[in-house]
Amino acid sequence: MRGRLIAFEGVDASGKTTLAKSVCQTIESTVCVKGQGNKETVVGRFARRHPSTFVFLFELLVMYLTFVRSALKNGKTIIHDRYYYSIMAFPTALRWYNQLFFKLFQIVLPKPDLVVYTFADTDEIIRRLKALSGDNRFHEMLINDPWILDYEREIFMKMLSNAKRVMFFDTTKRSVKQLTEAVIVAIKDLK
Amino acid sequence: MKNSGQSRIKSIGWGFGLCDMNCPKCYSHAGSGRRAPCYAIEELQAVADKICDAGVTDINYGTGEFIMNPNVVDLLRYIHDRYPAVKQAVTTNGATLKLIDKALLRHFHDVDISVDFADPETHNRSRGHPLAWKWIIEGLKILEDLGMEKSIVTCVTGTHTDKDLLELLEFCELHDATGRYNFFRETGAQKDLPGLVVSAKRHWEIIRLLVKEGVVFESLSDPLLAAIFGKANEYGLKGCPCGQVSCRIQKDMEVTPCVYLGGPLWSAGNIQKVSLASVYETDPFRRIRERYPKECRECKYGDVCRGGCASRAYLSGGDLNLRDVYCPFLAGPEVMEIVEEIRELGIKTGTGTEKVHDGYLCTIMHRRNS
Repeated sequence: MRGRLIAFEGVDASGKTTLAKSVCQTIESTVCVKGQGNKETVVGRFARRHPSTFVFLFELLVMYLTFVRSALKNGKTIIHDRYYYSIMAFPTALRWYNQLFFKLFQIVLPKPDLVVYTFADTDEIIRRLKALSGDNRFHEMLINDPWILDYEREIFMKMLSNAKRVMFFDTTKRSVKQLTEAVIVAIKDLK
Repeated sequence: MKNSGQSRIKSIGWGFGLCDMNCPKCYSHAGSGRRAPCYAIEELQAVADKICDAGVTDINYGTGEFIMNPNVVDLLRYIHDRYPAVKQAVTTNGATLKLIDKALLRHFHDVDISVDFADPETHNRSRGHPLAWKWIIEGLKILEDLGMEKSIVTCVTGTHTDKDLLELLEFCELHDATGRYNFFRETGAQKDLPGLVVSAKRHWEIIRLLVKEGVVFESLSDPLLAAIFGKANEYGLKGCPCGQVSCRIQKDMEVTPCVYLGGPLWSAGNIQKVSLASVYETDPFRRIRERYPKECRECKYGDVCRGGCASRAYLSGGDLNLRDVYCPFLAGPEVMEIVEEIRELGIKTGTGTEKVHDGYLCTIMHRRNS
Protein backbone atom coordinates (compact mmCIF):
# COMPACT_ATOMS: atom_id res chain seq x y z
CA MET A 1 0.00 0.00 0.00
CA ARG A 2 1.25 3.44 -0.91
CA GLY A 3 2.36 5.55 2.05
CA ARG A 4 0.96 8.95 2.97
CA LEU A 5 2.49 12.34 2.48
CA ILE A 6 1.82 14.74 5.34
CA ALA A 7 2.94 18.35 4.98
CA PHE A 8 3.37 20.69 7.93
CA GLU A 9 2.88 24.26 6.86
CA GLY A 10 2.58 27.71 8.32
CA VAL A 11 4.52 30.93 8.61
CA ASP A 12 7.81 31.05 10.50
CA ALA A 13 7.53 30.43 14.24
CA SER A 14 3.97 29.21 13.95
CA GLY A 15 4.91 25.90 15.57
CA LYS A 16 5.03 23.55 12.59
CA THR A 17 8.54 22.17 13.22
CA THR A 18 7.80 21.49 16.89
CA LEU A 19 4.60 19.68 15.94
CA ALA A 20 6.19 17.79 13.03
CA LYS A 21 9.01 16.55 15.30
CA SER A 22 6.56 15.47 17.95
CA VAL A 23 4.48 13.52 15.39
CA CYS A 24 7.65 11.89 13.99
CA GLN A 25 8.71 10.74 17.44
CA THR A 26 5.28 9.34 18.24
CA ILE A 27 4.38 7.25 15.22
CA GLU A 28 6.40 4.43 13.77
CA SER A 29 7.39 3.87 10.17
CA THR A 30 7.71 7.54 9.36
CA VAL A 31 10.29 9.39 7.35
CA CYS A 32 10.84 12.94 8.52
CA VAL A 33 11.94 15.42 5.93
CA LYS A 34 12.97 19.00 6.40
CA GLY A 35 11.62 20.46 3.20
CA GLN A 36 13.53 23.70 2.79
CA GLY A 37 17.26 24.29 3.22
CA ASN A 38 17.96 20.77 4.47
CA LYS A 39 21.51 20.80 5.89
CA GLU A 40 21.92 17.05 5.28
CA THR A 41 21.77 17.30 1.51
CA VAL A 42 24.08 19.02 -0.95
CA VAL A 43 21.24 20.79 -2.70
CA GLY A 44 19.83 21.82 0.69
CA ARG A 45 23.11 23.39 1.73
CA PHE A 46 23.27 25.15 -1.62
CA ALA A 47 19.74 26.45 -1.10
CA ARG A 48 20.70 27.85 2.28
CA ARG A 49 23.56 29.78 0.69
CA HIS A 50 21.50 30.93 -2.31
CA PRO A 51 17.92 31.17 -1.10
CA SER A 52 15.40 31.67 -3.88
CA THR A 53 12.04 30.22 -4.85
CA PHE A 54 13.42 28.29 -7.77
CA VAL A 55 16.26 26.74 -5.78
CA PHE A 56 13.92 25.68 -2.97
CA LEU A 57 11.54 24.13 -5.49
CA PHE A 58 14.46 22.31 -7.09
CA GLU A 59 15.57 21.04 -3.68
CA LEU A 60 12.07 19.69 -3.09
CA LEU A 61 12.10 17.93 -6.45
CA VAL A 62 15.50 16.35 -5.80
CA MET A 63 14.40 15.09 -2.39
CA TYR A 64 11.26 13.63 -3.92
CA LEU A 65 13.07 11.86 -6.69
CA THR A 66 15.94 10.58 -4.53
CA PHE A 67 14.09 9.12 -1.53
CA VAL A 68 10.58 10.43 -0.84
CA ARG A 69 9.06 8.67 -3.84
CA SER A 70 10.55 5.27 -2.97
CA ALA A 71 9.62 5.67 0.71
CA LEU A 72 6.03 6.35 -0.30
CA LYS A 73 6.05 3.29 -2.55
CA ASN A 74 7.26 1.23 0.42
CA GLY A 75 4.28 2.36 2.46
CA LYS A 76 6.09 4.83 4.69
CA THR A 77 4.44 7.90 6.13
CA ILE A 78 6.37 10.98 5.08
CA ILE A 79 6.31 13.91 7.47
CA HIS A 80 7.38 16.92 5.43
CA ASP A 81 8.27 19.92 7.55
CA ARG A 82 7.41 22.54 4.89
CA TYR A 83 6.34 21.59 1.41
CA TYR A 84 5.74 23.67 -1.70
CA TYR A 85 3.09 25.87 -0.03
CA SER A 86 5.74 27.59 2.13
CA ILE A 87 7.98 28.17 -0.84
CA MET A 88 5.21 29.68 -2.94
CA ALA A 89 3.83 31.83 -0.10
CA PHE A 90 6.79 34.18 -0.20
CA PRO A 91 6.28 37.44 -2.20
CA THR A 92 9.06 36.71 -4.72
CA ALA A 93 7.29 33.51 -5.76
CA LEU A 94 4.91 35.69 -7.76
CA ARG A 95 7.56 36.24 -10.45
CA TRP A 96 6.49 34.67 -13.71
CA TYR A 97 9.39 32.22 -13.98
CA ASN A 98 8.82 30.97 -10.44
CA GLN A 99 5.14 30.44 -11.23
CA LEU A 100 6.13 28.59 -14.39
CA PHE A 101 8.59 26.32 -12.59
CA PHE A 102 6.01 25.67 -9.90
CA LYS A 103 3.46 24.58 -12.51
CA LEU A 104 6.02 22.26 -14.10
CA PHE A 105 7.23 20.82 -10.79
CA GLN A 106 3.66 20.13 -9.74
CA ILE A 107 3.44 17.59 -12.54
CA VAL A 108 5.96 15.48 -10.63
CA LEU A 109 5.49 16.50 -6.99
CA PRO A 110 2.43 14.81 -5.47
CA LYS A 111 -0.26 16.68 -3.56
CA PRO A 112 0.02 15.93 0.16
CA ASP A 113 -2.64 13.61 1.53
CA LEU A 114 -2.91 15.88 4.55
CA VAL A 115 -1.69 19.40 5.23
CA VAL A 116 -1.32 20.40 8.87
CA TYR A 117 -1.41 24.19 8.96
CA THR A 118 -0.26 25.80 12.18
CA PHE A 119 -0.89 29.42 13.01
CA ALA A 120 -0.83 32.04 15.76
CA ASP A 121 -1.60 35.74 15.74
CA THR A 122 1.00 38.22 14.53
CA ASP A 123 1.97 39.49 17.99
CA GLU A 124 2.64 35.94 19.15
CA ILE A 125 4.66 35.14 16.01
CA ILE A 126 6.78 38.27 16.51
CA ARG A 127 7.29 37.38 20.17
CA ARG A 128 8.46 33.88 19.21
CA LEU A 129 10.73 35.18 16.47
CA LYS A 130 12.38 37.59 18.90
CA ALA A 131 12.86 34.79 21.41
CA LEU A 132 14.57 32.55 18.85
CA SER A 133 18.30 32.66 19.14
CA GLY A 134 20.55 32.97 16.09
CA ASP A 135 21.19 35.39 13.34
CA ASN A 136 18.41 34.83 10.83
CA ARG A 137 18.00 37.59 8.26
CA PHE A 138 14.58 36.39 7.24
CA HIS A 139 13.30 36.42 10.80
CA GLU A 140 14.64 39.94 11.18
CA MET A 141 12.74 40.94 8.08
CA LEU A 142 9.50 39.50 9.47
CA ILE A 143 9.99 41.32 12.77
CA ASN A 144 10.56 44.61 10.96
CA ASP A 145 7.88 44.07 8.28
CA PRO A 146 5.08 42.02 9.80
CA TRP A 147 2.89 42.71 6.74
CA ILE A 148 4.82 39.86 5.07
CA LEU A 149 3.14 37.51 7.54
CA ASP A 150 -0.30 38.71 6.44
CA TYR A 151 0.72 38.35 2.83
CA GLU A 152 1.97 34.81 3.40
CA ARG A 153 -1.18 33.84 5.27
CA GLU A 154 -3.30 35.05 2.38
CA ILE A 155 -1.32 33.03 -0.16
CA PHE A 156 -1.40 29.98 2.10
CA MET A 157 -5.19 30.20 2.37
CA LYS A 158 -5.55 30.53 -1.37
CA MET A 159 -3.38 27.51 -2.06
CA LEU A 160 -4.85 25.42 0.72
CA SER A 161 -8.32 25.92 -0.75
CA ASN A 162 -7.31 23.32 -3.29
CA ALA A 163 -5.60 20.87 -0.92
CA LYS A 164 -6.96 17.34 -0.42
CA ARG A 165 -7.37 17.67 3.34
CA VAL A 166 -6.20 20.40 5.70
CA MET A 167 -6.16 20.63 9.48
CA PHE A 168 -5.87 24.08 11.01
CA PHE A 169 -4.32 24.47 14.44
CA ASP A 170 -3.93 27.61 16.52
CA THR A 171 -0.77 26.62 18.40
CA THR A 172 -1.51 28.99 21.26
CA LYS A 173 -4.69 27.18 22.19
CA ARG A 174 -3.60 23.58 22.73
CA SER A 175 -0.47 21.84 23.99
CA VAL A 176 1.94 20.07 21.64
CA LYS A 177 0.77 16.76 23.08
CA GLN A 178 -2.87 17.50 22.33
CA LEU A 179 -2.07 18.70 18.83
CA THR A 180 0.10 15.64 18.18
CA GLU A 181 -2.74 13.33 19.22
CA ALA A 182 -5.15 15.15 16.90
CA VAL A 183 -2.74 14.83 13.96
CA ILE A 184 -2.13 11.13 14.63
CA VAL A 185 -5.86 10.43 14.66
CA ALA A 186 -6.16 12.23 11.32
CA ILE A 187 -3.25 10.28 9.82
CA LYS A 188 -4.80 6.99 10.93
CA ASP A 189 -8.09 8.07 9.35
CA LEU A 190 -6.30 8.47 6.04
CA LYS A 191 -5.45 4.78 5.95
CA MET B 1 -36.07 45.18 -24.62
CA LYS B 2 -35.35 41.95 -26.41
CA ASN B 3 -37.11 38.82 -25.36
CA SER B 4 -34.77 35.98 -26.19
CA GLY B 5 -35.59 32.56 -24.87
CA GLN B 6 -37.03 31.38 -21.61
CA SER B 7 -36.59 32.41 -18.02
CA ARG B 8 -35.50 29.77 -15.49
CA ILE B 9 -37.00 31.82 -12.66
CA LYS B 10 -39.17 29.60 -10.46
CA SER B 11 -39.32 31.58 -7.22
CA ILE B 12 -40.25 35.19 -6.80
CA GLY B 13 -40.13 37.38 -3.76
CA TRP B 14 -42.68 40.16 -4.04
CA GLY B 15 -42.44 43.15 -1.73
CA PHE B 16 -45.04 45.86 -1.34
CA GLY B 17 -43.29 48.17 1.09
CA LEU B 18 -45.83 49.39 3.61
CA CYS B 19 -45.18 48.15 7.12
CA ASP B 20 -46.39 48.73 10.65
CA MET B 21 -43.05 48.19 12.35
CA ASN B 22 -39.99 50.38 12.76
CA CYS B 23 -37.02 48.04 12.53
CA PRO B 24 -33.80 50.06 12.37
CA LYS B 25 -32.07 47.14 10.66
CA CYS B 26 -34.63 46.88 7.82
CA TYR B 27 -32.85 46.25 4.51
CA SER B 28 -35.52 47.93 2.42
CA HIS B 29 -36.29 51.08 4.34
CA ALA B 30 -39.86 49.91 4.92
CA GLY B 31 -41.52 50.96 8.14
CA SER B 32 -44.55 52.71 9.56
CA GLY B 33 -45.09 56.20 8.21
CA ARG B 34 -43.08 55.51 5.08
CA ARG B 35 -44.66 55.60 1.67
CA ALA B 36 -44.83 52.95 -0.99
CA PRO B 37 -46.57 52.91 -4.38
CA CYS B 38 -50.12 51.56 -4.32
CA TYR B 39 -51.46 49.42 -7.15
CA ALA B 40 -54.99 48.66 -8.30
CA ILE B 41 -56.03 45.02 -8.23
CA GLU B 42 -56.09 44.97 -12.04
CA GLU B 43 -52.43 46.02 -12.11
CA LEU B 44 -51.46 43.35 -9.59
CA GLN B 45 -53.44 40.72 -11.49
CA ALA B 46 -51.69 41.64 -14.72
CA VAL B 47 -48.29 41.11 -13.06
CA ALA B 48 -49.49 37.84 -11.52
CA ASP B 49 -50.61 36.59 -14.95
CA LYS B 50 -47.28 37.55 -16.43
CA ILE B 51 -45.13 35.76 -13.86
CA CYS B 52 -47.32 32.70 -13.37
CA ASP B 53 -47.65 32.15 -17.12
CA ALA B 54 -43.85 32.38 -17.36
CA GLY B 55 -43.43 29.26 -15.21
CA VAL B 56 -43.04 30.69 -11.71
CA THR B 57 -44.01 28.07 -9.14
CA ASP B 58 -43.37 29.85 -5.81
CA ILE B 59 -44.17 33.39 -4.65
CA ASN B 60 -43.29 34.80 -1.26
CA TYR B 61 -44.68 38.11 -0.08
CA GLY B 62 -42.13 39.93 2.03
CA THR B 63 -40.62 43.39 2.52
CA GLY B 64 -43.22 45.34 4.43
CA GLU B 65 -46.21 43.74 6.13
CA PHE B 66 -48.47 42.04 3.58
CA ILE B 67 -51.85 43.05 5.00
CA MET B 68 -50.90 46.73 5.27
CA ASN B 69 -50.80 47.06 1.49
CA PRO B 70 -53.92 47.70 -0.59
CA ASN B 71 -55.44 44.98 -2.80
CA VAL B 72 -52.95 42.30 -1.82
CA VAL B 73 -55.56 40.05 -0.21
CA ASP B 74 -57.48 40.04 -3.49
CA LEU B 75 -54.20 39.21 -5.24
CA LEU B 76 -53.70 36.23 -2.92
CA ARG B 77 -57.20 34.99 -3.71
CA TYR B 78 -56.73 35.61 -7.44
CA ILE B 79 -53.50 33.61 -7.72
CA HIS B 80 -54.88 30.82 -5.57
CA ASP B 81 -58.01 30.45 -7.72
CA ARG B 82 -56.43 30.97 -11.11
CA TYR B 83 -53.05 29.29 -10.57
CA PRO B 84 -53.65 26.60 -7.93
CA ALA B 85 -50.27 24.97 -8.61
CA VAL B 86 -48.41 28.12 -7.63
CA LYS B 87 -47.35 28.05 -3.98
CA GLN B 88 -47.78 31.33 -2.12
CA ALA B 89 -46.14 32.15 1.19
CA VAL B 90 -45.78 35.20 3.37
CA THR B 91 -43.14 36.56 5.69
CA THR B 92 -45.00 38.38 8.45
CA ASN B 93 -44.52 40.02 11.81
CA GLY B 94 -47.80 38.44 12.93
CA ALA B 95 -50.12 41.31 11.97
CA THR B 96 -51.26 39.66 8.71
CA LEU B 97 -52.16 36.47 10.55
CA LYS B 98 -54.27 38.39 13.01
CA LEU B 99 -56.07 40.58 10.51
CA ILE B 100 -56.65 38.34 7.50
CA ASP B 101 -59.71 36.16 7.08
CA LYS B 102 -58.80 32.69 8.37
CA ALA B 103 -60.18 30.98 5.26
CA LEU B 104 -57.87 33.13 3.14
CA LEU B 105 -54.91 32.34 5.36
CA ARG B 106 -55.16 28.77 4.12
CA HIS B 107 -54.33 30.03 0.64
CA PHE B 108 -50.73 30.32 1.86
CA HIS B 109 -48.70 27.17 1.43
CA ASP B 110 -46.54 28.11 4.40
CA VAL B 111 -45.92 31.09 6.65
CA ASP B 112 -42.67 32.63 7.80
CA ILE B 113 -42.87 34.60 11.05
CA SER B 114 -40.12 37.13 11.80
CA VAL B 115 -38.82 36.85 15.33
CA ASP B 116 -35.68 38.78 16.21
CA PHE B 117 -35.35 37.65 19.81
CA ALA B 118 -37.23 35.12 21.94
CA ASP B 119 -37.34 37.62 24.77
CA PRO B 120 -40.53 39.78 24.48
CA GLU B 121 -38.98 43.08 25.54
CA THR B 122 -35.89 42.71 23.37
CA HIS B 123 -38.03 41.73 20.39
CA ASN B 124 -40.33 44.75 20.86
CA ARG B 125 -37.33 47.03 21.10
CA SER B 126 -35.76 45.51 18.00
CA ARG B 127 -39.02 46.00 16.07
CA GLY B 128 -39.69 49.49 17.38
CA HIS B 129 -43.22 48.47 18.33
CA PRO B 130 -44.70 47.73 21.78
CA LEU B 131 -47.12 45.08 20.49
CA ALA B 132 -44.70 43.20 18.24
CA TRP B 133 -44.28 40.23 20.57
CA LYS B 134 -48.01 39.98 21.29
CA TRP B 135 -48.70 39.63 17.56
CA ILE B 136 -46.08 36.92 17.23
CA ILE B 137 -47.67 34.83 19.95
CA GLU B 138 -51.19 35.39 18.62
CA GLY B 139 -50.07 34.69 15.07
CA LEU B 140 -48.40 31.43 16.07
CA LYS B 141 -51.53 30.36 17.93
CA ILE B 142 -53.61 30.96 14.79
CA LEU B 143 -51.22 28.89 12.68
CA GLU B 144 -51.18 26.11 15.24
CA ASP B 145 -54.99 26.04 15.35
CA LEU B 146 -55.09 25.81 11.57
CA GLY B 147 -52.30 23.21 11.51
CA MET B 148 -50.33 25.21 8.97
CA GLU B 149 -46.70 24.75 7.94
CA LYS B 150 -44.53 27.48 9.45
CA SER B 151 -41.03 28.69 9.98
CA ILE B 152 -39.57 31.29 12.30
CA VAL B 153 -37.14 33.59 10.54
CA THR B 154 -34.50 35.63 12.29
CA CYS B 155 -32.31 38.30 10.83
CA VAL B 156 -29.16 37.36 12.73
CA THR B 157 -27.08 40.40 13.61
CA GLY B 158 -23.84 40.99 15.44
CA THR B 159 -25.86 41.77 18.56
CA HIS B 160 -27.21 38.22 18.88
CA THR B 161 -25.41 36.35 21.63
CA ASP B 162 -25.23 32.58 21.95
CA LYS B 163 -27.86 32.86 24.68
CA ASP B 164 -30.22 34.72 22.32
CA LEU B 165 -29.75 32.07 19.64
CA LEU B 166 -30.29 29.20 22.07
CA GLU B 167 -33.49 30.86 23.28
CA LEU B 168 -34.63 31.17 19.67
CA LEU B 169 -33.92 27.47 19.11
CA GLU B 170 -36.04 26.63 22.14
CA PHE B 171 -38.79 28.94 20.89
CA CYS B 172 -38.83 27.20 17.49
CA GLU B 173 -38.95 23.84 19.20
CA LEU B 174 -41.76 24.94 21.48
CA HIS B 175 -43.84 25.93 18.47
CA ASP B 176 -42.78 22.98 16.31
CA ALA B 177 -41.41 25.36 13.71
CA THR B 178 -38.45 25.31 11.39
CA GLY B 179 -35.90 28.01 12.19
CA ARG B 180 -34.58 30.12 9.37
CA TYR B 181 -31.57 32.41 9.58
CA ASN B 182 -30.78 35.29 7.32
CA PHE B 183 -27.53 36.94 8.23
CA PHE B 184 -27.79 40.74 8.34
CA ARG B 185 -26.65 42.58 5.20
CA GLU B 186 -25.70 46.21 5.27
CA THR B 187 -27.65 47.45 2.24
CA GLY B 188 -27.22 51.13 3.00
CA ALA B 189 -30.92 51.56 3.80
CA GLN B 190 -30.40 50.93 7.51
CA LYS B 191 -29.88 53.60 10.09
CA ASP B 192 -26.31 53.98 11.21
CA LEU B 193 -26.29 51.34 13.91
CA PRO B 194 -22.97 49.84 14.92
CA GLY B 195 -22.52 46.16 15.65
CA LEU B 196 -25.19 44.74 13.33
CA VAL B 197 -22.81 43.19 10.82
CA VAL B 198 -21.94 39.58 11.62
CA SER B 199 -18.23 38.90 11.13
CA ALA B 200 -17.03 35.79 9.31
CA LYS B 201 -15.73 34.35 12.55
CA ARG B 202 -19.02 34.95 14.34
CA HIS B 203 -20.98 33.50 11.42
CA TRP B 204 -19.06 30.23 11.65
CA GLU B 205 -19.27 30.23 15.44
CA ILE B 206 -23.05 30.40 15.04
CA ILE B 207 -23.04 27.48 12.61
CA ARG B 208 -20.87 25.57 15.11
CA LEU B 209 -23.33 26.39 17.88
CA LEU B 210 -26.19 25.01 15.79
CA VAL B 211 -24.23 21.86 15.00
CA LYS B 212 -23.35 21.36 18.67
CA GLU B 213 -27.04 21.72 19.50
CA GLY B 214 -27.71 18.82 17.15
CA VAL B 215 -29.90 20.71 14.68
CA VAL B 216 -30.76 19.18 11.34
CA PHE B 217 -30.18 21.59 8.48
CA GLU B 218 -33.37 21.11 6.50
CA SER B 219 -32.09 23.33 3.74
CA LEU B 220 -28.77 24.89 2.87
CA SER B 221 -29.54 27.13 -0.06
CA ASP B 222 -26.60 29.29 0.96
CA PRO B 223 -24.06 28.30 -1.74
CA LEU B 224 -21.04 28.63 0.52
CA LEU B 225 -22.38 26.32 3.22
CA ALA B 226 -23.86 23.95 0.67
CA ALA B 227 -20.51 23.63 -1.13
CA ILE B 228 -18.36 23.23 1.98
CA PHE B 229 -20.69 20.66 3.52
CA GLY B 230 -21.17 18.78 0.25
CA LYS B 231 -24.84 19.58 -0.26
CA ALA B 232 -24.61 21.67 -3.39
CA ASN B 233 -26.02 19.10 -5.76
CA GLU B 234 -29.38 19.07 -4.00
CA TYR B 235 -30.40 22.16 -5.90
CA GLY B 236 -28.53 21.40 -9.07
CA LEU B 237 -27.21 24.95 -8.96
CA LYS B 238 -23.80 26.51 -9.16
CA GLY B 239 -23.53 29.53 -6.89
CA CYS B 240 -26.23 31.83 -5.68
CA PRO B 241 -29.87 30.95 -6.52
CA CYS B 242 -30.54 34.67 -7.01
CA GLY B 243 -30.79 35.60 -10.68
CA GLN B 244 -30.69 31.93 -11.64
CA VAL B 245 -33.94 30.50 -10.29
CA SER B 246 -35.22 33.35 -8.16
CA CYS B 247 -35.65 37.08 -8.25
CA ARG B 248 -37.36 39.95 -6.49
CA ILE B 249 -40.14 42.29 -7.45
CA GLN B 250 -39.40 45.39 -5.43
CA LYS B 251 -42.10 47.69 -4.09
CA ASP B 252 -41.83 49.94 -7.18
CA MET B 253 -42.29 46.87 -9.45
CA GLU B 254 -38.66 46.95 -10.52
CA VAL B 255 -37.24 43.45 -10.80
CA THR B 256 -33.86 42.72 -9.25
CA PRO B 257 -31.96 39.42 -9.06
CA CYS B 258 -31.62 39.60 -5.27
CA VAL B 259 -33.69 41.02 -2.46
CA TYR B 260 -30.69 42.84 -1.00
CA LEU B 261 -29.55 44.41 -4.25
CA GLY B 262 -31.84 47.28 -5.17
CA GLY B 263 -31.68 50.55 -7.05
CA PRO B 264 -31.14 51.42 -10.72
CA LEU B 265 -27.86 49.51 -10.96
CA TRP B 266 -29.61 46.22 -10.23
CA SER B 267 -32.93 46.86 -11.87
CA ALA B 268 -33.78 44.63 -14.81
CA GLY B 269 -36.85 46.69 -15.68
CA ASN B 270 -40.37 47.21 -14.44
CA ILE B 271 -42.35 43.98 -14.47
CA GLN B 272 -45.42 45.88 -15.65
CA LYS B 273 -43.57 46.71 -18.85
CA VAL B 274 -41.20 43.81 -19.48
CA SER B 275 -41.48 40.03 -19.58
CA LEU B 276 -39.75 37.68 -17.16
CA ALA B 277 -37.84 36.15 -20.08
CA SER B 278 -36.37 39.52 -21.01
CA VAL B 279 -35.58 40.26 -17.35
CA TYR B 280 -33.62 37.01 -17.23
CA GLU B 281 -31.41 38.13 -20.08
CA THR B 282 -30.60 41.59 -18.69
CA ASP B 283 -27.16 42.65 -17.56
CA PRO B 284 -27.82 42.55 -13.78
CA PHE B 285 -29.12 38.98 -14.01
CA ARG B 286 -26.35 37.85 -16.34
CA ARG B 287 -23.66 39.40 -14.15
CA ILE B 288 -24.88 37.48 -11.12
CA ARG B 289 -25.23 34.22 -13.03
CA GLU B 290 -21.81 34.53 -14.62
CA ARG B 291 -20.09 35.57 -11.42
CA TYR B 292 -17.01 33.46 -10.63
CA PRO B 293 -14.29 35.32 -8.69
CA LYS B 294 -10.75 34.67 -9.87
CA GLU B 295 -9.57 33.45 -6.47
CA CYS B 296 -12.32 30.81 -6.43
CA ARG B 297 -11.27 29.13 -9.66
CA GLU B 298 -8.50 27.20 -7.97
CA CYS B 299 -10.55 26.35 -4.90
CA LYS B 300 -11.88 22.80 -4.67
CA TYR B 301 -15.33 24.19 -3.77
CA GLY B 302 -15.19 26.92 -6.42
CA ASP B 303 -17.10 25.17 -9.15
CA VAL B 304 -20.24 24.80 -7.06
CA CYS B 305 -19.82 27.73 -4.65
CA ARG B 306 -18.89 30.26 -7.35
CA GLY B 307 -17.88 32.85 -4.78
CA GLY B 308 -20.86 32.29 -2.47
CA CYS B 309 -23.61 34.81 -1.84
CA ALA B 310 -23.47 37.59 -4.42
CA SER B 311 -25.05 40.21 -2.17
CA ARG B 312 -22.62 39.56 0.68
CA ALA B 313 -19.72 39.91 -1.73
CA TYR B 314 -21.05 43.00 -3.47
CA LEU B 315 -22.22 44.84 -0.37
CA SER B 316 -18.89 44.27 1.34
CA GLY B 317 -16.75 45.92 -1.32
CA GLY B 318 -18.86 47.10 -4.24
CA ASP B 319 -17.63 44.44 -6.63
CA LEU B 320 -19.34 41.23 -7.72
CA ASN B 321 -15.99 39.64 -8.39
CA LEU B 322 -15.12 39.64 -4.73
CA ARG B 323 -15.52 36.50 -2.69
CA ASP B 324 -18.31 36.03 -0.16
CA VAL B 325 -17.02 37.63 3.06
CA TYR B 326 -17.91 34.44 4.92
CA CYS B 327 -15.57 32.35 2.75
CA PRO B 328 -13.30 30.68 5.34
CA PHE B 329 -10.35 30.75 2.96
CA LEU B 330 -10.75 34.51 2.76
CA ALA B 331 -11.35 34.90 6.48
CA GLY B 332 -8.18 33.05 7.44
CA PRO B 333 -6.92 30.09 9.46
CA GLU B 334 -8.76 30.97 12.66
CA VAL B 335 -12.07 30.62 10.83
CA MET B 336 -10.89 27.54 8.96
CA GLU B 337 -10.16 25.93 12.32
CA ILE B 338 -13.81 26.47 13.28
CA VAL B 339 -14.98 25.01 9.96
CA GLU B 340 -12.82 21.94 10.50
CA GLU B 341 -14.26 21.57 13.99
CA ILE B 342 -17.78 21.71 12.51
CA ARG B 343 -16.81 19.02 10.05
CA GLU B 344 -15.48 16.85 12.87
CA LEU B 345 -18.66 17.36 14.88
CA GLY B 346 -20.63 16.21 11.84
CA ILE B 347 -23.29 18.28 10.18
CA LYS B 348 -26.74 16.73 9.88
CA THR B 349 -28.73 17.63 6.81
CA GLY B 350 -32.25 16.86 5.77
CA THR B 351 -33.60 16.13 2.34
CA GLY B 352 -34.93 19.64 1.71
CA THR B 353 -38.41 20.98 2.32
CA GLU B 354 -41.42 21.97 0.27
CA LYS B 355 -41.36 25.45 1.79
CA VAL B 356 -41.34 28.41 -0.55
CA HIS B 357 -38.15 29.78 0.99
CA ASP B 358 -36.23 26.58 0.33
CA GLY B 359 -33.79 27.28 -2.48
CA TYR B 360 -35.12 30.77 -3.03
CA LEU B 361 -32.33 32.85 -1.53
CA CYS B 362 -29.10 32.40 0.42
CA THR B 363 -30.57 31.20 3.67
CA ILE B 364 -30.37 28.31 6.12
CA MET B 365 -33.31 26.39 7.51
CA HIS B 366 -32.83 24.22 10.56
CA ARG B 367 -34.77 22.25 13.12
CA ARG B 368 -33.81 20.92 16.53
CA ASN B 369 -35.75 18.03 17.99
CA SER B 370 -34.70 17.22 21.54
